[in-house]
Amino acid sequence: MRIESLEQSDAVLVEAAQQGRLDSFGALYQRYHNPIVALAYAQLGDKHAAEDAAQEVFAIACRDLRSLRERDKFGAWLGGICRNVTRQMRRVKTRTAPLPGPDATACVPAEEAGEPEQEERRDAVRRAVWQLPDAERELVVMRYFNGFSQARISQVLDLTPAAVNGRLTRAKRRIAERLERAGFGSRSWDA
Amino acid sequence: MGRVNDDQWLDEALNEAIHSDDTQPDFEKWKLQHPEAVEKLTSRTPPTQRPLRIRRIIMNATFVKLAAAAVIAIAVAVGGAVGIYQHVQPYNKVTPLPAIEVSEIEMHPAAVRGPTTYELRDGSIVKLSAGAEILPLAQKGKRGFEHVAGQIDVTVAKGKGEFIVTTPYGQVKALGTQFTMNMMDDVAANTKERVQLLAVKVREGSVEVRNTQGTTTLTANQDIVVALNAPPYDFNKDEKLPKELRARIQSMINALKAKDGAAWVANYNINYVYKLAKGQVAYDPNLFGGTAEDAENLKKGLGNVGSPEELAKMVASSLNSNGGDIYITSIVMNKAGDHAKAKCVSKSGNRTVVLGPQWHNFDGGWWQIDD
Repeated sequence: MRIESLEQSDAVLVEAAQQGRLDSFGALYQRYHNPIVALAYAQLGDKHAAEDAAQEVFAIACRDLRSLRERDKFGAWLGGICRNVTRQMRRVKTRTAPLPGPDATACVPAEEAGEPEQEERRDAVRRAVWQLPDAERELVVMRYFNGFSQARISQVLDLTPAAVNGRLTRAKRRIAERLERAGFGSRSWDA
Repeated sequence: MGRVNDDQWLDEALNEAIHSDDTQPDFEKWKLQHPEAVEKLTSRTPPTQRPLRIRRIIMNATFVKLAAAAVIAIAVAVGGAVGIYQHVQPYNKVTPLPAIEVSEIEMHPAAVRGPTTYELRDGSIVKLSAGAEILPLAQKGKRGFEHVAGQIDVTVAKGKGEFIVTTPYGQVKALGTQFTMNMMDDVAANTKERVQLLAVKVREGSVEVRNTQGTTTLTANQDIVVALNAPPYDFNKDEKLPKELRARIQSMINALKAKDGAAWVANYNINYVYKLAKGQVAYDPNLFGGTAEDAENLKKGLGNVGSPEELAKMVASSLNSNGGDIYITSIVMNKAGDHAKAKCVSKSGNRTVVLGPQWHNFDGGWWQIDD
């Protein structure tokens, strides 16, 4: 059986959008909204702020889309805008409030929050993730925030699939080591 | 230590701590909230006209490819048809937000990404190209930063002590100086292999490049390449290479950077190539970088050329170099000491190409035989 991709390529959608087709930009929005929220979350540590950032990222992208020449690099282009937007948000935030860290409640609805010990373990994991260098934290958050594919992560972070794999492996090793040191290693999770 | 390598527990832990599936994109709502952006996209005003960048087509042409190009050029000239070669390479410009001045003290180190200019606490300036990333040091009293990716240009504030840039390839230590670092992690456009290296070039003062494999000190206008798990390499300081060969290699680099076809072709033994094209000498793989079939194609393509000088002009005019950076990562000599092969990386804009130029000592000197 012949399997054909039903998904239009980024380049095709970008070209159509550059000619004024709003539905094509909408398809790109649907495709990249969640990865961009995840990328912003990795920078801001606050899910609501990340969603606000994503709205702004798409507003900038919509305004400037016609300047994009490498249409197949739309994801990476969007990722670059996202980093600029979140940097500005962080800068504003440093003047008024503490800098980002993982917000403990953003990802886990109250009704799903477990025992205090379980919550402590989650906090330990988030702390370990937020102690990673930016590049590794972005990868880990994108991979686990919404289970994005390696291909989508590669597009947004402008990395080769091999680089995604390598960095993810290194990042996970660091997280595991930090959790082991903090007493939340594999045995703790099995318990 | 627990089962660090068995990461199923870690996947579960990360999913539990980070996973979020309640984010639903709502484009209709977004449209309503951003009418100005929508209007800009859907309005019928023509897109901004940008200056076009004209580039030559290829850089790593062998003589055979050049011969073929020459034949086409001649055929086109005779037929009075359209010109060839130059094509338009549109470029992509990521629209940056206004530059951020980061002169105030930050409580946590945050990654800085280009394109931007960043001032460190000690007054040193780092210019980051698009795609570049650094991580400033958090510790007070320490000068420097971690270089994570891309090309950066560093001007170290003078008179304030040791300044250290750390990288996965080793560290660069500087005192009051200016230098450029280019960390590459690309896929070569021609061979599809992964290219990872760090190139350091000093413009003023001196720097020390050190890793577990070795240490090298660079002064103004010197550069060096560092591959992963390899000592810093500068072919100009490689004592195993004859002085004349080093000069020949440098001449190739200079010609490609300057897009100087005449200087480039001067590195080849054009008399030998002429004789080969005329069938006056036998094919010898040590003297001609292509295969026997390539040599036959050379005869077919350029067998009618009138003189070595004419051949040199044709080849020189066919040089297609985009003038980017050239990095020699290694050079291997044969046991007899008369043949050298280099691994070379050419980077121009976002395009990375891996080349394998070769040189052979014959007819009284070192000649390039392949690019």
